[in-house]
Amino acid sequence: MSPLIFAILLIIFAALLCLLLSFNERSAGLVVADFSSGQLHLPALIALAGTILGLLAIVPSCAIALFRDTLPGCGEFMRAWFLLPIICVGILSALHSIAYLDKSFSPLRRGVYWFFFNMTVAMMLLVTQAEHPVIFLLAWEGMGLFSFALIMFDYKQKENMHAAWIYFLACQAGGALLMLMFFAGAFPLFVFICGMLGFGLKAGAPILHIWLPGSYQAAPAPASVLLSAGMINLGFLGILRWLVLPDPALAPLLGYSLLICGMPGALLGIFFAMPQKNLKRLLAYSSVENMGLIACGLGFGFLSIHWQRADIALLSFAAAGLHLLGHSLLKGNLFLLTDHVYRASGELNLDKLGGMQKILPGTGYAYTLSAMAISGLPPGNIFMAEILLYVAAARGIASDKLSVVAPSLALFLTLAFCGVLAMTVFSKASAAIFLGEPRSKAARRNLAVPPLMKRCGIAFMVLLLIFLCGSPFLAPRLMHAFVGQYESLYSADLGAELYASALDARRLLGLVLSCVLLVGMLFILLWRVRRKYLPYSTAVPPRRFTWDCGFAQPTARMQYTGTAFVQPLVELFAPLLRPVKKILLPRGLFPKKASYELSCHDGSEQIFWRPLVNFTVRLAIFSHRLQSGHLHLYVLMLISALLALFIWGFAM
Amino acid sequence: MSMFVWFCGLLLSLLLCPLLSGLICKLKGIFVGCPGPSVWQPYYDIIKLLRKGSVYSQTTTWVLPLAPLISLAAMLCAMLFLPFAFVDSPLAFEGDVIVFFYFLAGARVISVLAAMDTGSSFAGMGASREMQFSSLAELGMFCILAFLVMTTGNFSMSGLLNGAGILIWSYSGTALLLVIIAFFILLLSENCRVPIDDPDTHLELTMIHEAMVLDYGGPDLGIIHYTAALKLWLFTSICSLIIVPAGLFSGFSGLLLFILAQFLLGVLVAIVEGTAARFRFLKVPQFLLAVPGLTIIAIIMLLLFK
Amino acid sequence: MAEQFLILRNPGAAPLSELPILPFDEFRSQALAAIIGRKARVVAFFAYAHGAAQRLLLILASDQEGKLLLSSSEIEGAFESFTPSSAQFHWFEREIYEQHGIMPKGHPWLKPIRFDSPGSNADEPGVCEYFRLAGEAAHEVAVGPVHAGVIEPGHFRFQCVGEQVYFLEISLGYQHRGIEKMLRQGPDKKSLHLMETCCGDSSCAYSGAYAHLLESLQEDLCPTERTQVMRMIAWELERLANHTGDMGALANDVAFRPTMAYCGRIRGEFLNMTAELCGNRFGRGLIRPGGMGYDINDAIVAKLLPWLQASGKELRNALELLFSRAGVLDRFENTGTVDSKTAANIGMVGIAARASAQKQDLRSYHPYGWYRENPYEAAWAESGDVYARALIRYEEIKKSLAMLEPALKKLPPAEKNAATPPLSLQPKHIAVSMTEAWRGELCLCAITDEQGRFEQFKIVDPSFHNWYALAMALRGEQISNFPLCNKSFNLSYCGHDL
Repeated sequence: MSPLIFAILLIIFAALLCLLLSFNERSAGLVVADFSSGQLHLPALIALAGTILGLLAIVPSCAIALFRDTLPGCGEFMRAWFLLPIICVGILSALHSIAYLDKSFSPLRRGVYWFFFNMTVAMMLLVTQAEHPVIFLLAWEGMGLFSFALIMFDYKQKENMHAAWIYFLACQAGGALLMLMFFAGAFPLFVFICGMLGFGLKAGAPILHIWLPGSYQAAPAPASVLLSAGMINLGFLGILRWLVLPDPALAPLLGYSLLICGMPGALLGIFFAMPQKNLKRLLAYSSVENMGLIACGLGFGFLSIHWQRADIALLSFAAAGLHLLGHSLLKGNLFLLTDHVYRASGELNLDKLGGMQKILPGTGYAYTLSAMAISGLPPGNIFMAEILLYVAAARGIASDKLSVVAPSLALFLTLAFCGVLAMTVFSKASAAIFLGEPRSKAARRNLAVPPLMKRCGIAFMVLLLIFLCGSPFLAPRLMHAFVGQYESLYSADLGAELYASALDARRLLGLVLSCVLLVGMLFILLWRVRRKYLPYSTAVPPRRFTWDCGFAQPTARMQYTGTAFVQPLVELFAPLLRPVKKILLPRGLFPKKASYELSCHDGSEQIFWRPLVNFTVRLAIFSHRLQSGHLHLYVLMLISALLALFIWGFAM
Repeated sequence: MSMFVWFCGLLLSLLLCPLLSGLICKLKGIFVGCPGPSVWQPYYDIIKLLRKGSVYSQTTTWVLPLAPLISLAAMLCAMLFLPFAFVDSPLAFEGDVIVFFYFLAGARVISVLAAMDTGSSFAGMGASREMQFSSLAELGMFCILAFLVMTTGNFSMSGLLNGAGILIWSYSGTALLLVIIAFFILLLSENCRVPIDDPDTHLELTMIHEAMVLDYGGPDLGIIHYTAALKLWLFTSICSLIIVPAGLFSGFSGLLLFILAQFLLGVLVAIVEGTAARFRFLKVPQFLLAVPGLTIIAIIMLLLFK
Repeated sequence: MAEQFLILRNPGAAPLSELPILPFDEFRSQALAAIIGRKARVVAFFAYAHGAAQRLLLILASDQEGKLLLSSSEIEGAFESFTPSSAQFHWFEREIYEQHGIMPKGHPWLKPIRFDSPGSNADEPGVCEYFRLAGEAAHEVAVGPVHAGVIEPGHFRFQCVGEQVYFLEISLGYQHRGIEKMLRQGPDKKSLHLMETCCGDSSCAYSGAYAHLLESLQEDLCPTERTQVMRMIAWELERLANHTGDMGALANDVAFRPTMAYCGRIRGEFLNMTAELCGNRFGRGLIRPGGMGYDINDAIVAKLLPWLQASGKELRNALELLFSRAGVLDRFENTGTVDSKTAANIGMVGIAARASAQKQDLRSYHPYGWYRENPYEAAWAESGDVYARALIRYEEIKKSLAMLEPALKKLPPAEKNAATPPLSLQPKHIAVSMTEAWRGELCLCAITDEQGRFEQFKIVDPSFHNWYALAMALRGEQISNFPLCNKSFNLSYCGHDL
């Protein structure tokens, strides 16, 4: 039995046992461990132990797959690569769940939660491993259903249920499309489209991402982590594993479609992240952006293979791989840190937070750093990926052929624009949560955040640092794996190219890391000089109010809100974002009241889904009219149909 | 030898960047018919500020005191990739362009965070404007980079800027001219110059960069002033490196020309500042979107006539 | 019912007994009817204690007829607010409530204006409830009382979302000195100096209005023709200096340096010309009741004429440069618009009113002094934006220059005038005197007691009418345009606060 099967079985077993024990009141209430912030009950312990042991059991095989030096293991490598975030995020979100499920939840609800949590993790593992379409489909469907249950965990809120149902529909549609993909093998193009749509649904492709923001917002924080950091990636696994391998001739088509989906996806994701007020929703849209960029990387890679530019392809694949891992860990971390904020304040609305740095210093540092990293700033994991993709795109731009230059240019500019918009979005988020003065009573509440949650955050930061430092070594390995996978697509010998590109990537990432180190050293030097030679006027720098123009009664309202911070950009891109403003203007010379409310509905919902639904409804109403109940009308329809068939028959 | 010239260029840049700001102020004064401050004024200001004490607001956290140092450190590291005095940087590598511009972006983001850290509405206003305009400017910047990559086939600062030499002037001078105009717009915008920002205004409500640093004083403000001067120098350097074909000048004549070029560009900035009125903020995006517009026209020209 | 108004011309005085004292309802309906029917404006509205009773005094101006309409009423503790019917009363009623505790019932915006009410000593300026834009995204920008430039204190509270201003509230009172109280029991040695420092940039307009006031209250105080011309020169020089300074400041706010620098210098030239006349750049001590503090000799005229011509030419060049720049015009046009309806509603005065299509200029419609013999045609514009306000200034600069040169050339000969007689004002009289200060209409009103001393003294600075217009101009405007709008009004803080 392979470790993975063992792990899956262990996790499922723990899940079932946990559920069973939860039904029994005595065993459900059995406290195993009592720690400062809560209690660990027996069922939870079993579930937790199952998850953690199971996931840890995969680590050795995963590590072997990642570090084995021979090419035939590349399939293994890819699997291991997708397993890596699941392991990290799975363990940490399981630990976070312990603190999340405090006394306010009944033992039964906790048991149910753990059951679905474990089952989702198990199904995710199975999806990465399934070799047979039927097993894959079953695992895929199971993953969808169990995570659906997780999303509707907080079923009392109406919008949560709404989001959960949309998610359910998306999962079912995705499953149906994949089924078509697997069993309609005769038409390659049809298979391809079904596959793209089916996997795209999971990976948050533009327009198909409709389920994503709502369900991330609705799900309990650890479940959001699981969804955003573990599950969403699996869409790409599906594409790589099931869509390309059967038919290598699809590579250029795949490349173009990924690129064409990826670029608008990335841009739309980050655009819609900008005006969001709900922290989790903002992170969800940022996931759409990141998935778009990963799709760009993969797509550009496949295209470059088509152009017979292995150097570009390898760089892009490595970029996509690093981006995937970086995004999973960063997004997982950000969701968990968001939960800290929620714990401390009971508020997720950016415009009502503020000044949390003083309440949650550790969370503040971690969130700010992670936010900077996920917007692609150095030294972040995403930056390591993006620089590789930039270099790849630049090499494409430098090419002679227009067919190469145009997509490369588009990719290059998309990357740049997404990057700078992401900086805006995340500086808005971290500034609005942590900096300035509290904007509401909630932000001043300072409720206790369980230390376990904080430790999960620290663990995430350590993992991020490890993978950051490891990126110069991981990038060449990613290249190896992709070469092994797609060697057949490339006509020339890949060995030499691979060697050169691997060296390039390693050198580039190494140099970037040393630059970052240099900045760090320069900073420390400057700091020393600042402390020693440019003294403050007193030993402890004096503290005063922020400059308030000498007004006698400054208030916390006199600072920018998150919405105000991005207002100019939102106005500028209003034709795209279509913000819904409910403004009551001050009327007359002496107005009684005025108010302002801005919300941004999902673009795809407004432009695509709602019209589609409306159209379907109208079609249904129209067709309903045909069913008038008059016999002669039915006869007429019958005759006209027959007539039409006749004419068709003759024409043939 | 060339290494030595590059190093001299780097050193002189670090030393002379406040002089460039001083020169612009002086010329602006002359333009409007008054003597203007001494060209050494920025040095006096920085030295004065470095000797003062600091006061921090109660609202602020770790960001505010660290931001100026982080910005300066990032800027210093970034400038190591520039080919000073037309000599390729010894540290150049493929992709250092991205490091350069992302370090600059990092410096900007940390200063935006520092502004938000004060909880002041003025600083928030400045930060919001900075992010708005710089995101549009960044798009333009990368368009220009793409153009340069296309012409030089190189993706390091040294290769891009030194490569854009006599060759392009000879076969697509018009395209290069468009790009230079585009870059000059960026230079004005990124360095808070008229017609986008007014570095001399005293009105908080119309400021961008100055509003962000309202709560700074003492050595921190001195460092910020220096960083701003350095940033202006870096941008004029890039501009002059794009314009002047490398290889025409080498050694110390190159160094001399390099320094001279910065001051000539300073004169140009002063002319613009002395004669143009500021745009209203709603019009600035249009102006900034001219940058990608011009550059894309240049790229199309390049593709057509290459 | 016949109208019962005391009708005066500007400047004018009448025995107090001629002032009708009406029952409040009649007083109110008659006033509102005059405002609607005769298109009269509120010039001043204030309360004073008359013995045990409290009296309201209302001064209306009918521009078409060139008349001032006065009426009064006695009330007890409260009265029905005029503001819901006519917003021109808005600020005056707040003042009445603050100064006397008389409640204008139904006033929609009863907040302090100077934070100095007799009851409480602890009023800190600016501390009151402000209007709020509801909604979590909304925020406030609070500017002042300490401003970045060397300007006067005032607190501006913007209700914003990002760059967009939804509401502006202005809170003043930081410069309140109690000048009106100090003037009671005058005129004495201090009175003229107090008048000249009500609002430092309008010293000549104030001292001129004060001189007219006293001259109308004392028949033997009669200014000569030469005095009239010299006063006009002082007023127009003051107007030139301030308009020039404002144009420079407007140029500065759009970062258009050449005009800014030139106007800054040329403003100094005009101030120095005033100093040439009297030794003070702001014209202090130049105008005195009954005459002038200093005479102009031929040497001064010979010096002033070429100076004026040269400065005028330079100024025209600098302003033409400003108005020919597309970038500048783009900033000025459609910025801070106050439409004519709002302007009429809130009773704006002066350049700001003329820029919003209000044809009113005391020099044309209530002429006084030199302007009686020399008709003046008021400049006006329709668009009500910053551009219009700048344009009005430019037009007035041209007009002032055109008035000054011939006046200097043909100065009436000096008469051997007798020494100014000592002040002895007619007892139990009411007098009103208005001058068009460079900002707009300045109104002084005095009531004398049995000894001919000021029993009541009321000052209405042009800024008093216009501050609310600035707040209106900012509704829906971009916050970055506020400094430009503010400069285009350039209202006085100390003139308002007194």
